[in-house]
This record gives sequence, C-alpha cells and structure tokens, in this order.
Amino acid sequence: MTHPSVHAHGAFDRRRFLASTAATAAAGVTLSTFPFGMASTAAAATGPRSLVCVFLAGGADSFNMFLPLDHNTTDQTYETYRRTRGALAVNARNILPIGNGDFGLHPLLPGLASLAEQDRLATVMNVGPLSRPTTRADYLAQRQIPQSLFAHDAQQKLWQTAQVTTTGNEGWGGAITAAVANGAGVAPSFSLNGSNAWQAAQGAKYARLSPTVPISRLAGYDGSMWNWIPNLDAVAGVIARGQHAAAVSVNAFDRAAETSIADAIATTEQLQEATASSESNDVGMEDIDQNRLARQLEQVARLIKNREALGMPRQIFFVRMGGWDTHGEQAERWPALLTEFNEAITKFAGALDNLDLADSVTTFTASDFGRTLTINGDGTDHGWGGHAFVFGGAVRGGHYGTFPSYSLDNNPDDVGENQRDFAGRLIPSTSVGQYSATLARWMGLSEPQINAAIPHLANFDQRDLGFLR
Amino acid sequence: MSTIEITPAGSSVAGTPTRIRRPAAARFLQQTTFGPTRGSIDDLVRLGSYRAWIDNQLALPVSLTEPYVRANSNSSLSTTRHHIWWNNVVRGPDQLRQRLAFAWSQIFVVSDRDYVLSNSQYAICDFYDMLARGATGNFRDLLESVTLHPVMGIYLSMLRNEKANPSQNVRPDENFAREVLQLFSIGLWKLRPNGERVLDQTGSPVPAFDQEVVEHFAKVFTGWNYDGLRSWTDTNISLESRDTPMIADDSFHDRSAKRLLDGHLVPAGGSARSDLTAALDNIFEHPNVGPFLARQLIQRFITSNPRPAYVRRVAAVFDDNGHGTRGDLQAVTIALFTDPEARRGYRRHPETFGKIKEPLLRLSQVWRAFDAQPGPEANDIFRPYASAISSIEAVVGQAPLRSPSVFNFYQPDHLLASDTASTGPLSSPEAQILSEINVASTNNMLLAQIYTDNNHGDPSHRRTSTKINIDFELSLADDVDALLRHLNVLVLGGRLPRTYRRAIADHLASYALDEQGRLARVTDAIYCLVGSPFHLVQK
Repeated sequence: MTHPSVHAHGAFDRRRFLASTAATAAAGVTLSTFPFGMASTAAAATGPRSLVCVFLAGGADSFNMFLPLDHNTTDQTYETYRRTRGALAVNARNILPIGNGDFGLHPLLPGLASLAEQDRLATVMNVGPLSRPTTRADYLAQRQIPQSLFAHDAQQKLWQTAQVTTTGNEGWGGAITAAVANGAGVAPSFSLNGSNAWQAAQGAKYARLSPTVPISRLAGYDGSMWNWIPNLDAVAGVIARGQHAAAVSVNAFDRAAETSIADAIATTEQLQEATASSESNDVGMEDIDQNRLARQLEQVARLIKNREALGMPRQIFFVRMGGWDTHGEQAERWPALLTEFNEAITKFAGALDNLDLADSVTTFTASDFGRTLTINGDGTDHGWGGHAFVFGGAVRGGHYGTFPSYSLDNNPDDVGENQRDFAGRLIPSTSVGQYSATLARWMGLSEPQINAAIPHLANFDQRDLGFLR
Repeated sequence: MSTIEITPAGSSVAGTPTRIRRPAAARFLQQTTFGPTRGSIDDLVRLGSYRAWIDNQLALPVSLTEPYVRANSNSSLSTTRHHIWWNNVVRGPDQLRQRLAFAWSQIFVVSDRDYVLSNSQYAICDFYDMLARGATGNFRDLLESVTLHPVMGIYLSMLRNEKANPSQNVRPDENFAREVLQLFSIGLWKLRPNGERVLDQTGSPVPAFDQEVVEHFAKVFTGWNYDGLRSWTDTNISLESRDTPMIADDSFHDRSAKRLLDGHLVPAGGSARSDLTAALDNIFEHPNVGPFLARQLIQRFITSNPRPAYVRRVAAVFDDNGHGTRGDLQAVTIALFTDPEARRGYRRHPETFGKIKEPLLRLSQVWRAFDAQPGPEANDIFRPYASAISSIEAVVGQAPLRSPSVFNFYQPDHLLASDTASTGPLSSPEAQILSEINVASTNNMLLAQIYTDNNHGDPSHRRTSTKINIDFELSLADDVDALLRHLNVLVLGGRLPRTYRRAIADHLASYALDEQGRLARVTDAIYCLVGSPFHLVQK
C-alpha cells in the first residue's frame, strides 16, 4: 500500500554531490594546499560513511576522564589538578597514560586507552559553545557570550546546533541529512534515544527507534499483519481514509498526528528486517543486556552493517546516556557511569572491527558542558568548556586544541570575576562549531554547506581541527 | 481581576436544565480526567456546570499511592507503585486531582531512574501523594513541601548540602538552587504578565537571574539533612527518614549574606530555616511565577499554544484569587478549565488549538471509556496484554515519575516539526516523545486490546491481561449511526470528520447482523477511531 506525504526531503542531486567530491579527490589536494587548512581527503568520502553522536546527558565531568599527568607547564600539571580538584582528584598512580604520557585517562576507561594506543582516539580539549575566540575580559563584559550558559537544556541545544543562541532549531546533523538524503523512503538519520536538535532541520527527518522495543509494523494499517483478525485488510482500507482526513485537516496537530503515523509506517516497513535480532544481523556485542548505552550502539551497528542494503551511503546516529549530572555523590556514581560508557564504547568499537567497518565509522562524544573544577563537597556543578572524545579508524590519534589552566590562583580561563568567585568554570578555547565542522566535513558537507549550518565558524581561523583523515 | 471573568458565560449552577451538550462534556472530561466514561458524561450533562463539577471533584477524598505500596511491596520493588497509579487513574473517583498530581509531577520533577530513589519507593509515593494533596493548596506551601521533601533532597542533592569550606576549595552545591529557579518557579527569562518574554532594546530576551544568583541561592540551601539521624554523616537511613521533611542543622549552614532575585538581600547571620523562608518568599513573590506556571499548566491540560491573553487571565488568578491571596492553586485550577479559550478555543482557533496527547492518556482513555477490568488472574492489576505493567513505559514511551532528567519528558517549547507553514511555528511538548517506534508499538497494543482483550474474546486466553467491556456498544451494533454517534462522543469528543465517519459507516454496514458481524462492527468501529490520527490529538 502507499502512504501520503511520507518524507518530503529537500531536493538534492546525489549524483552531483558524488561528482563534486570525486573531483576534489581527483585534484589531488593535500593537507597543506587545501584552503582553510581543511584536512579532509575526499577519496574515501565516496565510500559509505557513518557518524555516531554519543551524547553524555547531564554534563559529563570530562575533567575526570581526560587527565593531566606529566605535563610540565606550571599551571597544567597533575599537581595543579590535584590541588584544585581536592577530594575528587583521581590518584596519579591509577591514571592510564596515553600518547607520550603527558596525559592519561581515568582508570575505568581502559577501552578508550586501548583505542588511544591504536592511534584511533582523539581528545578535543576544552571545547564548548563560542561565538568567537573569547577571553575572560569578554566574558566579564558579557561580549557575545553564548546564551543561557550553565543551563542544561540551553547548553544541550547549543552543542547540538553549534549555535550560540537557543532560538535555532536546526542541527548540523540535520544539515548532513538534508544534503545526502535521496528523497525517497526513510532518511538515513536515526536516534536510538529520542528527540534531539542535532538531527533536526528543515527537510531532514530522523527516525526515533528504541533498543528495547522491537520494530513492528502498524497492524491496523497493514491488512497483511495479524491475519487472525478477520477483515483487517478492509479495516486498513478504511483507516487509510481517516489518515487522509487528518492529512487535510485545518488543525496543525491533526496533520502532525497523521505525519507521525505515516512516518511510523515508513520506518517500521523499511527497518524491520535490518534491525531484527536475527542471526544475519548479529554484530557480536555480547553481554550487554544491562548496558543501556551498549544496547543503543548494538542497534546502530546493525543499521551500519545493513547500510548498503538500505541504500544509505551516509548515515548519522544519535545515542544518549544519562546520569552525568553529578552534583552529589559523584564518587559513588562515577564507577557505574564510566564502566557503562567504557564497556559500550569498547564493544561497539570491537563490533565495527569485526565487521571491517572501523575506517568508515566515526564516533564522537558531546555533553551539555564541562563541570566545575572545584567541588561542592561530594560533586561538581555546571561549567562551560570540557573535553570531548572522537574515535574510529579515520581518526588521527592524539589531543587537539589547548589544554586549559587548572590553577586555583588567578586562573585566566575561569569565568569568576575575582578570586573569591573561583569555581573552575572554564572558558572554552575551541568552539563546538570548529569541532562540529571537522566532523561534518568528514561526512562530505561542502564548505558552503558547513558555513550555512555553522555561521560562527567564520570567526575562527582554524576551520578544521585535523583529527580526521 | 474579579472572579467573574474566569467563569464562562455558559456555565450555570447545578440542577438547572442541561446546557452542556454531550460532545462538549466529553471534551471537558478529556481535559480534566484520565478519560471520559458514559457515566461521567451523563453526570456532567445532568449537573450542567463545569464549575460545580470541578468543586465536586476537588471535594472528594484523595486516592493515594503510598499505603498500597507499603502494604504490597518492599521499598525497592519499583513495579508496585505503577499498579496503584493505574488503579487510581482508571478507577479513582478523584479524577481531576489525579490529573493535577500527574501534571505537577511534571513540574516538580523527580524520577526513580535515579539509583537512590529506585530504592526509596515508599518515599517517592509519598512525594506523589504530597503533590496530589497540595495541588489545590497554596503554591508557597507546595514549594516549601517539595523543597524539604527528602526525595527532592536526594534527587537534586540539596540533602546534606554544606556551607563553603575555602581551605578545601569546597563550594555549596548549586543543583537545587538552579533548578528551583529555572524549572519550578520563574524560568530563565523575565516574563510579561501574559507569559511572553520581556525584550531589551536590541530585541533580546532578558535573563531572570544570573550565575551569581544561583551561587547565592546555593548558600541558602545548605544545612538540611534527613530527620532522625545520629549525626550529619550517619549512613543508617531509615525508611521513615526518607519521607519525613528534612531538618536543619545550622552548623552546616552558610551564614553569609545572600543576594537573591532582583537584588533582594538576605543579611548575614540567618539560620538555615530563616534563610530558606526568605528565599522561598523571594521566589514566590517574583512576578514570573504566575505566567510561568500558567503557561505550563495550560499546555499540560488544554492547548500547546495558548493565546497570551489566556495565560494572562490564569496568571492573574495566581497573583490574586479575588480575595487578595496569591498562589491559590484551587482558584488557578478553576481558571484554567473554565476559561473561554479552554471551553471554546477549538472553535475560535481551529488551526492552532489543541495538543498532542500524552501517550499514557491514550491507554487510560481506552480503558476508562470501555470500563476495563483486570484479567481474571491479574490480582486486580491493570496490565496490557500478557506483559508486566512496567512495559507500558516501553510501549508508549512514558511512565509516571520516570522522566529521564529533571527536565521532564518533554520541553515546553519543543517545536512541532511537521508542516506549520500556514500557522507559523507551534510548540508541541508531547511531540518530543511521539517517536516512530512508540507510535507503532502503541498502535499495536491498542489494536490487541480492542480485538483480542475484550469481554467477548476467548475466556481461556490471556487471563492476566486487562479486558475492555463492549456490551453497551454491542447493544448499538444493529444501528451503525447510533454506534458511531456514541463512539464519536466517547472516544473523540465529537471530532470525527464527516467524510471519515461515512467511510467507517459504509464499512460497518457490510457486516451481516449475526453475532460475529455485530462483534466485527463494534471492534472495527472502535479501532477505526482509536487507531486513527485523531486519537493522538486532544482539542
């Protein structure tokens, strides 16, 4: 049967898109000659690519995930960190060194350390929403400061949209979808954990799936299902008339309800096979029943494994893990959080390796904000800049951006007006826009498309952070 | 403002001849209850007054959750509270209060996804019951009860929040301080009395508070702990301590001066209790509270995009109930439901009025409309087909006190993503959780409920799943028009479009008038309404 009004994507000429990226490749551009210091080599951009956003909801305390170890600048040493962090400081002896040993990872992140060892983990340091390079003086004068800093919902939105005001509703993930979706069927954009601004954009739908609810088609709209109910065929014909009546309703909510049913029909029809827990869909992620993040990533791995069969040379995914808003009892909550995160990432990376897909899948973290460097007794409060992780076969391992000062005294990166106000809410040195643009470019967005999606990028010299091949 | 303005012209005192038509009664009951029933529509029509109906409802005893959970479960089994919640919302006489409690639980959000609260089931039920009771009291009292409830103390870590310790670089915890302002009372932006944002000369919204204010409120909320402990850090916490209001220990309270909202200064030296009183008064008196709460309550019950004047009218009642009292939630409740926009907005603003239903309400409305009863082997517990009640959450994507965070299931300004070219952007909080997967699974659950789990199905099957009763509908089966007239009111509040109604009628008429044909007429008719897009919407 056919359904009205399913998936009206923005018009897009896929052939032209592929041709332009191929031309870039043919021109033999190298890193040094490419305008704007853009690092993307477009050769691989002609093959399939998938991008996965792991959103750490609540504001992850990334200052206790990526740690200074043997870094010798005065205000960036482990000792500075330990003094400022007080009772929540990670013991230096337990930190897992990565790279040349300047930095390390929390002892409960061995899987990430192993990715670092393979040069497939990038850490982007002190990244956060910025409209332009911003100093402490700018902050104190409130010059072009992002809106509603330190508020969860606002900062989630700024991270997901790469904007500096909360009025925008279009994410750069949505811009990717709008650029690559071929206009037919389900868009190659999936959330395994509800709505988000990253994947939303005009002409860019995304399907919201669940790791715990198997995909099943809408029986009453599909007479071939549930055939023990007599005449369901006829009922499906009648209810399609109801769908039509809603589609032409004068009321916006009637129409929205109709769209949601049409989207549910399209999504379940096209994805039932690709997501079923069948043998052919096995991605080898074992023992993950209790790991909610891993279960989301398992569904992601299935959809990546099936991306060619689904006709989706580009896909984007959103998964989310909550619980990171550790104002209280951080020491008690932290092991469970890090263990779930580490295991999920490790098993997902392992699955992609086994499927030989690691080089064409990039996974990145995002979070509401970094947290305060200082503690409130047994936890940390809302901050601004934080560290983010990117991993995958296309990643150039290492750390990117500028490591901030962790100093207690006259910290140039802190937002406090005077020493008495010091809390270690750090002004980011790298913008979410730069971080996002680097990822979007790897997914094949052109420079004009990136500029349209991330307008503030023009205020920064470095348009590509270089962590992707 | 006078109370006269909040009483719609069409209402009348109890006992006068019927002036409320059945579809209007059903629409009202969709807004005020967990679903209209034939009996409740009859009662409201007979009463002839929305105001009298509300007064009657709010005078009823409160259906509680904690006594049942204490009697039937330990404090760690998290399924039991869902059993009594569903029992109350399907069978409870105090329907309006139950809806109010659910709405307030989406403003004063706590969630037992939190690992400590998942093991505090008596306490979390006590918190919910407190909202049910407090929903018609004064907001100032409710705000204080919420602030001092250990469940909130745990959830937003005000419990055992300590004064600063500069030698250890320790500051007070800002969690409750920030969210009580942003989410529970005034919001991020300065508001006009009609709920619109105040704009500065550049057209930008004006923040209602800044980070420094949060830090000062954080100092206010120090020095509170469980009642009944031997010491501040005592780890032996009794179940009773978790549902007794927190008590102050001034030795952990920050006694410095605090600068609160709009520069209000609390001098140094105050106690935990006196600072708390001053701070909650400061919040309560802020002009944002009325419009902030009015808009959210209207969104929860009536329409996602209220006209500013509607928000202003309800907020004005919050500011003054007509007798000089601020924060009277009973008066606010009456204003909310009797406002002309609540009653007639669907006709005045047909393009934009209404909302996407909360997904739980689709199930509760079906269960109530068709007098659902638990299956014969269900221990009097409402369950959808053959599955544990907790799976309703997986199927519909929502469960009480199970929000993913303090930001509730959805945000007040979530945008409707589909075509709004003719109307301009529209908010639709509930659309945020209307996922493709849950739309499908909810449809299939409701379809099974209608076709398989009705009281004329095979009695030997699915003996633990809830059965709907379709006897009355079967009595109308011979008369397709009468059947559809009845279902249109009961299920859709009279919103079934004519063209679609004709298509259903033609289809139903094709069945023979034998037992099987009548059953098919009834089940097909119900599904064609419940399964249609119109059932996802309330207008």
